[in-house]
Amino acid sequence: MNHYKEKSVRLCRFMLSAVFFCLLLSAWPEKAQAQEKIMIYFYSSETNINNFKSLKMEFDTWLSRFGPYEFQPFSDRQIFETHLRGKKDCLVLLSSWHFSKIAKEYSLSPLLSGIRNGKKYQKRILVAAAAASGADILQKGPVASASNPDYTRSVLRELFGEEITGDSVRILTVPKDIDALMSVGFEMSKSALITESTLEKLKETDPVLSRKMKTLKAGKDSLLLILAVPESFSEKSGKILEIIQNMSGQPEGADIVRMLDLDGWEPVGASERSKLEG
Amino acid sequence: MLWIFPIFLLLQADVSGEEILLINSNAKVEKYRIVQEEFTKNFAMPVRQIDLDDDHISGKKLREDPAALFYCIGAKAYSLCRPNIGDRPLVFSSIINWQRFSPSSEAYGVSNELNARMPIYMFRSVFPDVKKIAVLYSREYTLQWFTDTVAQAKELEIDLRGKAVSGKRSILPALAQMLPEVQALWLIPDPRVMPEKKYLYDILEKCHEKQIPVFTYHSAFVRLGAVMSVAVDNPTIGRQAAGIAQELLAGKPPADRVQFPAGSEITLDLKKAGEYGLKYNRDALGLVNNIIR
Repeated sequence: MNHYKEKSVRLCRFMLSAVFFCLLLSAWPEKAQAQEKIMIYFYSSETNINNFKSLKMEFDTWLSRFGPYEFQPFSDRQIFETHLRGKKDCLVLLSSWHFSKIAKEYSLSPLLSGIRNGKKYQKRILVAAAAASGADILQKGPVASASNPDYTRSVLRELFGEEITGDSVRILTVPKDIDALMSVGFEMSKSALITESTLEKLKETDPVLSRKMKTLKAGKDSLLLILAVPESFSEKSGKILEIIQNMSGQPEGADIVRMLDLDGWEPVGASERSKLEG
Repeated sequence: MLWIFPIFLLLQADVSGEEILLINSNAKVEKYRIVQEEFTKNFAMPVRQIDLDDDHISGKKLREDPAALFYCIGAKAYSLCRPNIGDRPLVFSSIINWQRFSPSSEAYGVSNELNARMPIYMFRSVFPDVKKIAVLYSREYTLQWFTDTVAQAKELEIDLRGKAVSGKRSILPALAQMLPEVQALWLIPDPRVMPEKKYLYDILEKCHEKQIPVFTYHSAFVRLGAVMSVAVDNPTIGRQAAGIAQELLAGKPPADRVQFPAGSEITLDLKKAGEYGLKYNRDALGLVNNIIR
């Protein structure tokens, strides 16, 4: 009798272990999914931000405090867009110009906009030497710009009309807006396409050099960097959005925001959304 | 219709004559390789390429070469090319102290040193409280540069104080004399100031002892103890050289034969800055390419 009792206890134990093991297995994919990293993909056509290594390191270190998040910057628009295709649970950090171009195709929804000096908008201006005349400046020599050539041409068309075609203007791509501006000061280029705030900074730090330059044309206001999500991720993105929106309130987070040449983030309003989505 | 054929051949000959010959002193050197890559990416016409580290090309071959323009990366390529290409245009870049070659009137290029105002602007933007900066220079190589730069620094409200060094023995005493009066040292590329690596280490060590930050021109020095570097951006040099070559081939030579590099690369060691109690301007972090913590 004892023998049968012992056998049934063993059988029970085996059955219980099997059930437990099955439960563990069935729970595994969900567990694994929960640990899957949420990526923040970044590419900026408007500023040739090339501090990728430092940006990634700073972002990843900071984000790791909050959960399985990872920052992935791109230096090439095409690779960025190819990589984005089919991605669902992610955030996308890109220029407002670029957002408008790809939002429909990638079903992106704009959630946050960068702010600088308390403003969500920036203006691109064309600056040249104080003695330069306006009309044919683009034909006299290169236009220095820290934006990618597609975006630069698009703004030049906005400023000068459709006569700006592929090769009619030579663009010198430089790492930063300030490089573009100084290249006019030191005569490596005839004009520079920069943000208004860069000229303001030059006026503060180097008034003598800034007096040697003048604004020839000013473009329309455009929103600063946009943080967007694929529509399918909208509802689940609350936590990471909150983290990013509050990052400028902490010293390390504030440094990262400054590396993007911003001061902080604000939600995208309804009117801005409709403008962005065209 | 047969008359078209010789005209076609003539046109072909013209096209090959428009080719560019790029001569790289050593494509295994990263900065030379990057410049070459950016040049070819940004130049619309065919570019034949020679790497002097792998290939040999004689002066005779260069004289016979049909290229319409030569692009030389580094001093070795320039020295080989210059006497052998007659009055055909030449573009050069990545040559330290290009003035020593007294380039001819057909030579155009991009210098290897930034306009001094650029680093001063960056120092001032990142560390606005640093107003007194020391420079060690030599009468032989950098006296003129120093005199011009003092005037530029003054316009940016920086008091630049210099001491000329004449030989190895004078370097550390000159530094010791300067350090008590300044808030930072700006280390410039002068062979009299850093005749050997040992002097670089000595200078960095002496400054560290006195908690004086060192600003410099090469990012590698930041890994060795400098606080900040403002270096040339090599990809931009390649793009500038491509632009100059295009202008020359179009018969519109640029007004300045030698341009300053238009791009900068900034490295900042925030940990070191913190050690020295230096306050940095957060708003200027957008200028920085590499941050070390």
